[in-house]
Amino acid sequence: MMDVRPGADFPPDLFHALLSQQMVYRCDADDRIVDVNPAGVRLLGYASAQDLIGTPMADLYASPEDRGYLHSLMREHGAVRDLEVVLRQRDGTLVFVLETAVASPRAEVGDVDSSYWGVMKDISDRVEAQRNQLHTNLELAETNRLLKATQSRLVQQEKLASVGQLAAGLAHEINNPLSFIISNLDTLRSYVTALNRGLSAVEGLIPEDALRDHRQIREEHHLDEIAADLEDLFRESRHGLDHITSVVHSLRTFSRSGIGQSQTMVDLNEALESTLVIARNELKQGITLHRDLSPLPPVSCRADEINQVILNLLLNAVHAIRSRHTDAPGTITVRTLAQPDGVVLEVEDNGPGIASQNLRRVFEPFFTTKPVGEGTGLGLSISYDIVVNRHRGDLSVSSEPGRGARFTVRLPLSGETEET
Amino acid sequence: MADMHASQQLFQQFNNEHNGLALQVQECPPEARGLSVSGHLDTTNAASFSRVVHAWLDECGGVRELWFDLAGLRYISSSGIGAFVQLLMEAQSRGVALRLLDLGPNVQAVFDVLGFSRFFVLEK
Repeated sequence: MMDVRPGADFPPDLFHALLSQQMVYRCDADDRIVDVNPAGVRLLGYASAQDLIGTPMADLYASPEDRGYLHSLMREHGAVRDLEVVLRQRDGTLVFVLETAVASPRAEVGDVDSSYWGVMKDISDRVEAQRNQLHTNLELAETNRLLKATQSRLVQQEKLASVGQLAAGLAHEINNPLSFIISNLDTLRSYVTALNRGLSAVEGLIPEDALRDHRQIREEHHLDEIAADLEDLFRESRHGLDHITSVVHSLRTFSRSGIGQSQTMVDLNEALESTLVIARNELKQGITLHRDLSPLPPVSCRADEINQVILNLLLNAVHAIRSRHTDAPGTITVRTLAQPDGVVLEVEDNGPGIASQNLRRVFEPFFTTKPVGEGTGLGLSISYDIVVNRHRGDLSVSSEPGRGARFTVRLPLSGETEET
Repeated sequence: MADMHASQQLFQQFNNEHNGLALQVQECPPEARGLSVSGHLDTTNAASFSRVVHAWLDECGGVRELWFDLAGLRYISSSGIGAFVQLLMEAQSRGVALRLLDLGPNVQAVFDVLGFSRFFVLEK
């Protein structure tokens, strides 16, 4: 049993009772345990003091470097008070203790070879309580952020659903008159052709002496030019109407939306084409679009959500290119690829790229490098949520600063999606 | 943008008042601010450390990341970890990311033992 003696005025029983609550140890000049009390044996999970005699103190520390730190304090001050260290019990369990150590009374301050005494007080319960409190706070903060992000996503989806409904309504309203305008134009064209043929036939019946007057009338009213223009006018009008038809079709495809839309079989190339029509206005100013599309098998997905992802990636690429503030040509390449277990869509731009420290954060909600007020920082996080969480797919990014960025969407063929 | 000179003054005063813990502003990319932490961070100085770093955070409006170079941090106690956890929560609420760099094995061990490593970006 370790022999620790109280001062002359201190009741020995009380002194030993107090000390028996804490580990007390003594080390030799090599920092090996020479003596340790029963409380120390218990604290470290050993059967007897003999098991610990000769053990280097550093071996009992979870981090031996901390023992070196204690030595440096001892050298500097001759004593250490309440240094928090982590000890490793025999079975590997870690315990937090406060260590107080003093140099042997026979040693001088700064004498590193001297032995010393130490007392260790177990504070694991206190540390555990503080730790739990901090953990709870951190987890609450994380939950709050998640709720905020989810709320923003819902608001954004709500807005997109409204825009989708508006677009679908507009498309429907335009589609009806468009159908009869196309139909009427085609009829008009055939009538005009018939009229021309009739007039030519009638001209053949005009007597020779009236032909001069006839030509004069034709010239006065520019009938020949009008006849020549008519075909162009019909062709251009038909071309314009075909374009309106295609936009209306794209709007309807894009906005096959609404909250709770179920999965359908979608050709990603078609989804891409209809979204490109929607983004056309953004894409045409100083940006060249390259298509590198492969035939794809249809995948089961929520079309409205995937269209939203494609639009987000396209607009993101456009904004990246615009952020360069140069007149150098911007290029966006869209690429699709079939793989054995899914389909891949890539959107690549030659914008400024993404700094390496931002690369892993681009999918975080509210992360944006755009100036305040120009980006919500939600587009990519919503896209990530749609692809990864709701379609069990993958959305990744690669970038070399100064040389653009590439976003890659992978969707599985078997589109098991999360329930709405 | 934080005034680097003002930040240096803030930390100079802290360093004068605290033995054993030294804070120094470091060069960083434009959207980040950096601080090197040397010495020991424990129950004796964790509260002051928290105060001065929160004051610094107030000055760092508009930055996206705070970098802490911990290569010179020789010792940390659970109170020191607590100071970083409080700072993490404050930074996250402002949309600022926290990166702790070059942790020594004993400093990393306390983060690990207390189970906080997963909440932080810790880099060797």
